[in-house]
Amino acid sequence: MTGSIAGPEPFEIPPPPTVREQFGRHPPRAEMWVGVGVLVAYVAAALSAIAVFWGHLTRLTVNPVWIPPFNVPGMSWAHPFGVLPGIGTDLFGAVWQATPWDLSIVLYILAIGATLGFLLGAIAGLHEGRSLDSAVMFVGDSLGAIPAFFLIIVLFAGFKALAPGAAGIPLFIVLFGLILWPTYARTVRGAARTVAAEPFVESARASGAKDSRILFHHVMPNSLAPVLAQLPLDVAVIFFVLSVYPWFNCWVFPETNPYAQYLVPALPAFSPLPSVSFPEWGNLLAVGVCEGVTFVGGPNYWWMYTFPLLAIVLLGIGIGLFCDGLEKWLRVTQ
Amino acid sequence: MRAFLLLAQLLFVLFLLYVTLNVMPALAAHQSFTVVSFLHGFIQMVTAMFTGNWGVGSFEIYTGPYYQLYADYVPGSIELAIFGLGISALIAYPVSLLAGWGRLPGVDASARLGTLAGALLPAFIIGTLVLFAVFFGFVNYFHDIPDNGLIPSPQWINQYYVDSPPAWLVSYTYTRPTGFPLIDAAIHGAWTFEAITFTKTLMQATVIAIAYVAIFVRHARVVVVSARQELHITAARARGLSERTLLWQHTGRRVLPTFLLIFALTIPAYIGTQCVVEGYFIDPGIGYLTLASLTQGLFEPFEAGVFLIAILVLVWTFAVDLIVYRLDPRGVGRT
Repeated sequence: MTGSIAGPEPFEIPPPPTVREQFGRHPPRAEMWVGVGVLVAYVAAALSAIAVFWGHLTRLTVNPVWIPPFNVPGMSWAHPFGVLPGIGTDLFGAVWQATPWDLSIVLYILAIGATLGFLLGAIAGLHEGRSLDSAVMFVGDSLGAIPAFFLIIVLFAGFKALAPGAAGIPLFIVLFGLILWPTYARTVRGAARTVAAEPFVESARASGAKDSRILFHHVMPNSLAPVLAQLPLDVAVIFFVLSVYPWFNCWVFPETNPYAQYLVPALPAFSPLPSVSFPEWGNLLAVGVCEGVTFVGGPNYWWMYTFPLLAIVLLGIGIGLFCDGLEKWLRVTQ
Repeated sequence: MRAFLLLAQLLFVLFLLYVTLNVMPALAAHQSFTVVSFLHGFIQMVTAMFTGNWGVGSFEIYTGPYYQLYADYVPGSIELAIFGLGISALIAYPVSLLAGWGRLPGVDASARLGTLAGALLPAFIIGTLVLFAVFFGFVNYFHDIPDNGLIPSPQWINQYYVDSPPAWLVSYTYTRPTGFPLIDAAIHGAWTFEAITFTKTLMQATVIAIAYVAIFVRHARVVVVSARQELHITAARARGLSERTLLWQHTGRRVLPTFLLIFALTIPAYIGTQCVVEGYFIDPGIGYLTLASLTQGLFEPFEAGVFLIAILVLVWTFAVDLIVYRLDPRGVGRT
């Protein structure tokens, strides 16, 4: 008796859900939308600042009448954030004008640092124990042995000595991005090692998938969490470094000058900013501290440093909420 | 093998410093380099660093070899670090566990927001706020000002020790015989001096802790989140163990090695924070010396400072790797 035995119906693998379907099935938590809202507000502020301050985006608007010994106005409806007397500028306008610069600086530095660290960390984790892994970790650990803010200051100072004309904000951004990658690489490597040992990666390898496919389709999408955890912390590092430059020369004024407290601290020669009148939040924050805190125990003109600080903290929290929300959403959907 | 790696990493750091601080300014001054002169300069620098020949010069009121200055300044930094790390650990461990555990409503969200805001405040801003908060209380109680170093200010010392400053106090800056102000004041029975020093140290350590805990918790809570989802926790919960036992005994012990690894990973951030706090409060410590050397363009003590920091970070990372193997309850690495 002969005859063919009918085999089972071929099992059809359903196509993976699209991002749109994932959003429908597992809507992100409210914190992610709050983060998105904050970031959208910052982008809107940046775009409007470009339109309003077009033509003098690189220099704060200065009114000589607000520089002592003239009368310096405090907070009012006309000046909701008060006036920064040393520079002689309205703080609301200054913080607004700085928005496009700061968003660009943060975005580019994080993009360079996180992309490089993510890629190198994932490659190192996938090839654990091989020479590529050792090389990445050697360079990363060595760079990580120096606190980031010392390293960026030293590196930028070296380049500025070599080519003073070329060393500006773009070079600072590139160097800073190159300094930040080791933190990402080290944490991503740990996650990538775990992912690389998972059965689905083993089966992908067994079915003949190339290393590059495993890296980009399996390891990297599943090792994103450490990157999202680190991003907001690096916002803090970036603004810390930017605010340190004017702070270096804080309170080094001649004691004989009765208006010493209102003098603007000069930027050190190795600063990436062209002048202290450059609209940038870290710069405004440090100048605000120098001028707002005349001496400890003395008058405290808190608004001079509070509003630039709020701009920084709100941006950091917005990025943090977005990253945390995204991380949770990815954990649910993956 | 690992010791050779440490040495190679140190050489890498020195090479980076050599190129940026020595070669680049020299090239800017149109000085030419050959391969031989480049390597000769680098070898000279490496030899000088490893033999303690860090140059001779002036720093504030001190004139002499820089290695002596570092020797005098190291104890103050160590003392502050002991307090700073102690306070950080006391806050970071429970906060990370509670935030990552996620069973108490609102704890995770508030911990994440609070720590993120803390991380975003530069250390000198936190220092300013803390100084403003304690200034008048400190002045009224101790008749001294809370900033200006770890020990009482020269004005207080001149008022308190009317005839002359005590012999164990050098240049109103650091103490003898150990160099640790708290120990030296106790040895000499100077209890008011001790109280002021203790309060100042505690205050500065708190500033460091506020900034550092924020960085630590953000990494550590992720570890707790994944630890709470492990099978043995689910099994233990099914057997009726209390949440308190699950959190503090099972998960607490389980995540301790990873917490140490996170600490090793974030130690450069800790050192950076302490450097800025030392600079802000003008403490005689390595951080202040390194920072002040940089701003004053004194590259020799600056290179030495970064060299010491790099040694500290690399050796500590190595030590943590060893400790983690011993502490891990799963026995990883003991086979």
